[in-house]
Formats: sequence, C-alpha cells, structure tokens
Amino acid sequence: MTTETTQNGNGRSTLLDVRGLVKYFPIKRGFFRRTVGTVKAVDDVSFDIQAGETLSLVGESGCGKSTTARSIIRAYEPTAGEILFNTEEGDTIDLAQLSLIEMRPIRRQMQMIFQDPFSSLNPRMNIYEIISEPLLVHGIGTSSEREDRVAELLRLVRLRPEYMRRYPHAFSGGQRQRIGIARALALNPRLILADEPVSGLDVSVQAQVINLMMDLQDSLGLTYLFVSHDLSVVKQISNRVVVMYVGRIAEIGTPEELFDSPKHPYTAALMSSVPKPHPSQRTKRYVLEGEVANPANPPTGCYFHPRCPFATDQCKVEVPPLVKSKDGRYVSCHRADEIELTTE
Amino acid sequence: MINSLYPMTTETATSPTATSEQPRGLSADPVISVRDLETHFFTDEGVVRAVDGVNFDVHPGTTMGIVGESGCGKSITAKSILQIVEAPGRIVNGEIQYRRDAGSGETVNLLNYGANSESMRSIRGGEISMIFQEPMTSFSSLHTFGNQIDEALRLHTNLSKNERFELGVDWLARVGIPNPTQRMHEYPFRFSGGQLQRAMIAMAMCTNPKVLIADEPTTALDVTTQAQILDLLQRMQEENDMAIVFITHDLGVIAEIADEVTVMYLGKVVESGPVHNFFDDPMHPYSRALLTSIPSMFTLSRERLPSISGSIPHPQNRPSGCAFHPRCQSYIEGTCNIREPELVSVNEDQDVSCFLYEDQ
Repeated sequence: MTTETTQNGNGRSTLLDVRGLVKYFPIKRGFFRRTVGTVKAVDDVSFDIQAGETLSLVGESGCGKSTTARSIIRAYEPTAGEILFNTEEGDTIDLAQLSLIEMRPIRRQMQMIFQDPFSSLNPRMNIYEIISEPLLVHGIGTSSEREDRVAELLRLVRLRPEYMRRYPHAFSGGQRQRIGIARALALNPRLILADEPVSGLDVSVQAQVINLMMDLQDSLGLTYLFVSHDLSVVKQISNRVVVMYVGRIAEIGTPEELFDSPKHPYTAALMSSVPKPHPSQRTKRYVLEGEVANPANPPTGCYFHPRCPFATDQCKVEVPPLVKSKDGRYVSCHRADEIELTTE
Repeated sequence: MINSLYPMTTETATSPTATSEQPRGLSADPVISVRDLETHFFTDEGVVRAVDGVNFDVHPGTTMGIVGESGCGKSITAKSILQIVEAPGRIVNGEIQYRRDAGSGETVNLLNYGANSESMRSIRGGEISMIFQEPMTSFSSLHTFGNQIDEALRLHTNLSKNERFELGVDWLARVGIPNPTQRMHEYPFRFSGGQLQRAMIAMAMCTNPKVLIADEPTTALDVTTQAQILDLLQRMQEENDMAIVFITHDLGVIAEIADEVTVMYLGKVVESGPVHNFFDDPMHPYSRALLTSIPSMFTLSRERLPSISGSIPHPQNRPSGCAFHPRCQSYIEGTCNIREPELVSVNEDQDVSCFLYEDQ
C-alpha cells in the first residue's frame, strides 16, 4: 500500500514505511515453559509516516497500538515485516533486520516519550543528569558543552535552566513531562514516538504539553508517531490517523475524514462513542455490543464481524485486505463502498 | 421481576406512585443536601483541608456531576457522604442531610451517625451505594463474584439464599454479562475490565439504592466501554428514579449525563448550576478556562487551544485568597490574592465564587 512516497500530495517525503509488521507473543505454560499459544498483538500492519507530520495510532486497549510503536523502535523484536527508515544520510534501512548494536546509531534519530511522567524519570538523578544521559551514552560533547545543551533544551521546553540541579520530585506532572520531552530531543531526533504523552496529566495542563509538542514540531521539523486512546486529543494533534482493532488496521485517514465520514463500521462505532461536547447534542448512544476479540484466539475472517451490524457470510470467513478506496483512503472492510455510516 | 423479590415490596410498590405525582427532577426535594462539609487530613506535615466548606443538593432521578482535577477534593467529598474517609482524614464540620423516605419526608443528618454505627452500615451499600474507578480493588480476589453479591444482599435484604442467588444472576444479566449463572461461580480475575466495572455496578444496584455515588467509574475504560456504562447507568436511573452523584474530570462525560454541575478546585466549590448554563455561560474563570483548553470533537485538526498556565498547587501549599488566582486570567491584584471569595448566587440558577461577580 505504501509504494507511492507522496501520497498526501503535499510534497512530503516518507520518513518511515512499515510493511506487514507482525508481532506475536508466545503464551508459555507449565514447568518447561512450553509455548501453548500465541497472542497476535500486531498482525500484518502497514502504514507510512511522512516527514514532518503527526500520525496517530488509535484503538481500544489491547489493539496493538503501543506494541506497534515499540516494535518500530525495537523495544520489542518484530516477528515479521519490514520497518523501512529513511536516515538523515539518505539511506533506506530496514530496522527489523538490524542487530541491536547496528540499531544504536539509528536510535539517535528516533526517540520515545512515555505516558507516566512519574515513573519515567529516575528519582535519584537530577534534571541535568536525566537530560544529558543520552548525550553521555552516545559520547557527545564535553561536560560544559553538555551543560549548555541541557540549558538550551530546558529553555526549548519552557523550563528555567536554573532548575537543572533539581530532582524530579520538585516538579509537577506537566513539568516532568516537559523534562521527558527535553530528554527525547537531546540527540536531535527526526522521529518522536509518543506513547500516551498527556494521558497521565491533569486536564488543565494537557493543553500546555500539546501546544509545546506542536510548536516544537513546527520549529524543529519533527515527525511524531502519536499513540493515544483519547480521540479528542488525537483529532487535535494529528495529520493522519490509523485506527487499529485487535492487531490489524481498520482504516487510515485524516481526522476530519474519520470523524465525519468513517468508512469502516468499527471507526464509526469508535467515533460515536466519544462523548459529545455539549449537552444539547445528547443523542441515543450507539453502543457497540459484545467485547473486544481475544488476540490469542481471534475470530475467523474479519476480526470485527461478531460485533458488526453489517457483517455478511463473506466477513465471517474472509479477512478483508487494507485497500485504497476511490477517494484515496485506506479501509479494510468488504462492504466499505456499499454501506452508509455516520458518527451521530 | 426484580422488585417482586424484595422484602420491602409494599413500600416500593407505593413510592413510585407517590414520586410520580411530585414533579420529577429538580423541583422535587433534594434526596441529599451537603452543607458546609469540611474534611481535613491531619498529616505530620500539617493539616490538609481536602474538602473546605462544600455545599450542594442532589435531587431524585437526576445526576449531579462533580467536576474537578486531582487534589480538588471530589473523591473525598464522595467518601465523606458515606463516612469512609481513611485516616488521617476526618470530617470536622458540616451536615449531610439525607431524605430517607419519600413518603414521610423524614430527613436525617448522616454525620450524626457514627461511621461504624448500625444505621450508617444499613445505609451504606444499601440505600446509598458507591462505585469506584478501579473495579479490581473493590472486589476480593479470594471470593467468587456470587459470594460477594450474596454478602451485600444478606446485609441489606431479608431474602433467602436461593432468592439472593437468583437476584444476583438477574443483575448480572441486566448489566449485560453473558452466561450470568456460570459467572456467579467465577472469581473476579476471570472478568475483563469492562465486565468487572459492570459487575460492580450490578453489586451496587442490587440493593435498589436511592442514591448512587459514582467516582470516576469510566476513567480507566475505553470510549466504547464507557458508552456502554453510561448507557447502563442512565437506564438504571430511569427505572428506579435513582439520584446519581457522578464524579469526573471529563467534561464530555458531564455533557452527556449530568443535569447539574458542581465545579471544585482545591477543596472548594467554585461554580454550580444546571448543565446547560455551565456549557453555554460558564461564569468562573476556572470553568471557562477548562472549557476552552480541553480538546473535544469540536476541535479542528492542528488547532491551537489556549492553555491554562501553571499547575495545580500542592494542597499543603494552598495559595492565599482565591486558590485559583495564580493561574487566573482575570486576576485582580490586591483582592484575589488577599481575600477568599464566597459562593454566591449570580442569577436564578448559578452560584459562583469569584470577585468578578461580587456586586451582583
């Protein structure tokens, strides 16, 4: 699906191209830890990220969105698939084939921001030590150069450089998350993987972090892979959104396309579950029946068919491929072109 | 079928007609009135005034949404109603007037009952139930779900063992859990997160409460499961004319289910009124800032929203005067940082505590 590099038509180049990514986790039981089954956490996922855009992965818990992000940065070993990354030097490298040592220089160009700003900062290290650690690991700069760089990074995330010698406990949740962002930026990465970066914050400080992330993206030309279950935040920050269901992609589109005219019944159900922002818009809720499929024992055919009001016999046996529809969107539904969906 | 199993059949058979003659909703007398509630925590570092003079009314058949962020005292307010505040917290002042019976109109101050008194125990989990954010922590992992629902029914009804089991099965089915008879014999770890939340609602609802206190019951859930739970709560409310106190920081959820809204910040009520007034004409600068800074389905892709500066102060470092003044856009030097505003009526429906409305 991702052979055209400028599918957005906005002249951006592809930074990352994920093709057929698979990540299975074995289920081990008993004294000899025999493998008795597999959890298909990510099951044939393909998408691309254009340089300078924000691509979000959304879906319910257990849909594989975090596993996808972690497989890309090789925190997990992908079971199969290609992760084609266009490096600064202009080479295209398949990250899935690299050894962990070969992966190390790539990690300078690819950094992660975590959800919990309380557990992701070492309480025994001060802010200077936390932010300069990536520089130290990659052997960059002298001690005084590193200090200058940390001061610069702190200013970038709107914290005062004087706070450099303080410890994480002296900072609020929003400030800690900004420290986490400063650490991620220390090596001048091109791609930032942000896994639920504002979910642990109070709602009144979320906007600070979201605005900061968008400002940094504009000024530093960053590319974000944003993982979140909060669809309102995703709508605000994303250029494009990938909707996942039980390890597979249901649909890819711009936020407006997905929210206003979804093509996959699961997208429609997900969007209509989001609370309406004003009491005058209260409508009969479209409640999705049943439970999310078990990725260790998924149903046959389309994984969504047991909950889908439009399912036919074909859906029960045949896995729908992710195909480009007439208007250039990607949907994996046998009936995408015949059904009318709304998010009301 | 459920009502017929209750020992208080005669009461419940008459009370619906009694309430249906009364105007439904807000014009009916409140079932719970919280007055000047103060719950303080006596820690080694000093006294934390977690709840500092809170007032609100909850009416039968309606939902009171309590909105606030961490440290605003919303959960402690809820726990104070049921007197389950953990040490070193203590309710130091206030009244919680509870109208026990719609017919006779007998009203009692719950705080006159001891936390462990028989009266309080008969109300807690019976007439007033509570559901929590973390369903895992409100079930014992050592007992089957059936055993746990049986305990609640044994304490609050006079049903026989078979009747209790049947009622439990019935409630599991009503909250949409498949194979309810089999699930009664299973342990909580066999339930998924959403199922556990629904099982907890079943356990809270099986005693037919007049008031349900829901403390962030959908915060940890996916939006699809959240929609299921909100739908379920609203159906239960319509069937039983139950009052709901719904605690959340999610304004979208408030827009979906609340009839009235109380906004709290650092232990105090800053604004209260009907839900439409709150969304159409929020008065307190904090309410306004929340409504404009949080993305919603109205937000456009790549839109910048105004952010609220600073962060929530630690409860032990409460700012002087109005607690919101260091973050406030409408801050008045010399007033807001010195004096504390009082909650006053600014029009027929809305109460606000802000010096902007002092003269009205």
